[in-house]
Amino acid sequence: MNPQVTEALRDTFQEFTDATPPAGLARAALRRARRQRLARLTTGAVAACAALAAVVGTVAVGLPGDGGTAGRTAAGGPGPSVVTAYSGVRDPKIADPSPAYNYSLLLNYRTGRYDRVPYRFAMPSPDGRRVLVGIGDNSTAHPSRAGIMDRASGQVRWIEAPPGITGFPGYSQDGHWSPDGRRILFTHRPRPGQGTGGFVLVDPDTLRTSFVALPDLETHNAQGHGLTWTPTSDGVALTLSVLNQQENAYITTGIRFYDLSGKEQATVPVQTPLARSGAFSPDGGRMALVDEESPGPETVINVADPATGALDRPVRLDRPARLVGWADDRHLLVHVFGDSAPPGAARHDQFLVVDLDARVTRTLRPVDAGPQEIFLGPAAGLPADAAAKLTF
Amino acid sequence: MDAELEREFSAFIEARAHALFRTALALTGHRQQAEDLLQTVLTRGARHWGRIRTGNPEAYLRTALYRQRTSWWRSLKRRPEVSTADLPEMASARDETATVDLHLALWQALNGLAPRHRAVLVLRYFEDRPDSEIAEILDCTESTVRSQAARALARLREIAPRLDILATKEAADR
Repeated sequence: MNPQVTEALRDTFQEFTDATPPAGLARAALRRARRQRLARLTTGAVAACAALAAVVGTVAVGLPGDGGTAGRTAAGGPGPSVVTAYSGVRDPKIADPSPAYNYSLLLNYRTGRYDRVPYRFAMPSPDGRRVLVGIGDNSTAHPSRAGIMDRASGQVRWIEAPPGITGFPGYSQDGHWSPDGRRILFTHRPRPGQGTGGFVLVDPDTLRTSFVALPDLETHNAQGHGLTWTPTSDGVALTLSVLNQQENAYITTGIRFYDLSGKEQATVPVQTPLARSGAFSPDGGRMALVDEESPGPETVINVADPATGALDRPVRLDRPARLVGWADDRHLLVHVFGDSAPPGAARHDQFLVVDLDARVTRTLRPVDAGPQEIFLGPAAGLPADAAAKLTF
Repeated sequence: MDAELEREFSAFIEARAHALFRTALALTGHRQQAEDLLQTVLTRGARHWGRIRTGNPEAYLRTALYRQRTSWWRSLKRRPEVSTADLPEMASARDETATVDLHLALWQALNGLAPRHRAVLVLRYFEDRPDSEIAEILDCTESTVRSQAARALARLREIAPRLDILATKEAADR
């Protein structure tokens, strides 16, 4: 054996695998194992539903409140909001777990059902006319691409990398529409030695891209958070974090706001990261802070003032939950999982609309899909029967 | 799984997550795929924890990582391999920059290998396993391990012809 090859291969493997594992591995594995166990117990119903979905390419949703929620649910009628997309759904028929094979479900406003689209990421624009889509897993076989799909024609215009930027969108987080729908934001974190971190803004009409360097992404972001749009669409926000070497734990130190040129506007002290989804209420008067890396047996969503970081109140839920977004300025939509339901509660996943005192005001049943992300939008235009089931 | 077993499983994963993730990263060459691979295997480990905890759970999980990764290949092998993009020119002088470039180029070339070929190299050069153990982990014979290793190195030469150190043809066995 050529000792040079041996040495080079050993050194290469050592060098490129020296990375920190993601947090919460055991908890996520236990949660998935519970879900798989539950899925096996309900094989008949689920398999029939999946087979139907595969054949017709759409997924029906259950009736709200199926199974009840132990008497905690207040009555509720059709509302102004709806889940517009379940993004990043794993296809159980494909053994390879690469996200390149994931698909997404988009709400069809004409039928009130969810249509399957072959994109691992899909986020409808605020007006619903376009969809930001993503494919690939940044591998050689499946390079990542991001594009904008016209909802009426289904045609996709692919976004090119900004001049001088390598690894886009490969080393960028999936983009997000600004609340006003005029821009798309990608947090760009290239590999070491391949440039500076920052963000890419895309004009969805012209597909013109621009890169804005943001050194804080590397220097004040030990936990690796992405950027979030501010509710006014004229800036971005970043959760600042440091690593406590002694305790080997991340500490959140604040939220920093920037304008779209990357200039710092303000920093407010907080101790919990900005929520990945639903960070700000629609009117911008509140922000939601959640420690999603260290979930516990209960969920605490801290509602705070974006101007000062001052805590308004904690919204406490007695079970693990994921914040999906804001139903309105005083209500949150959370996703709770059937396998963590308390005794007497429904054993399937549910969406709960909760007010800021943690009272459940409406319950809905999500599509049984296990998506990576869920996006909300306006419900106007849905058929009445679908609106009764889907809106909040 | 009861609460005590869950705590035990969580403590084990917390202690070994870094090592297992490194193996997953070596096998996939891509962080997101490594996370998915490891999560898939850990989920299986959680399901069987009551059975595997009394043996050598790390060996079980490592073997599962390799087998899971290489089994995907069986379902993927009809898809064409894609060669990596142009590699950086290699400096001839053996200075620090050249070493960094060499490792980067090798890493990129490794990404062009089929998962089974890559797995053999990871087991040999990252984990320093003897061929007998590699054969056991990959559920094949030792001669298959040697031929796979030789093919992997040959493929690396094809992908990265400018890497001087690969120019000398390797013997199939060590």
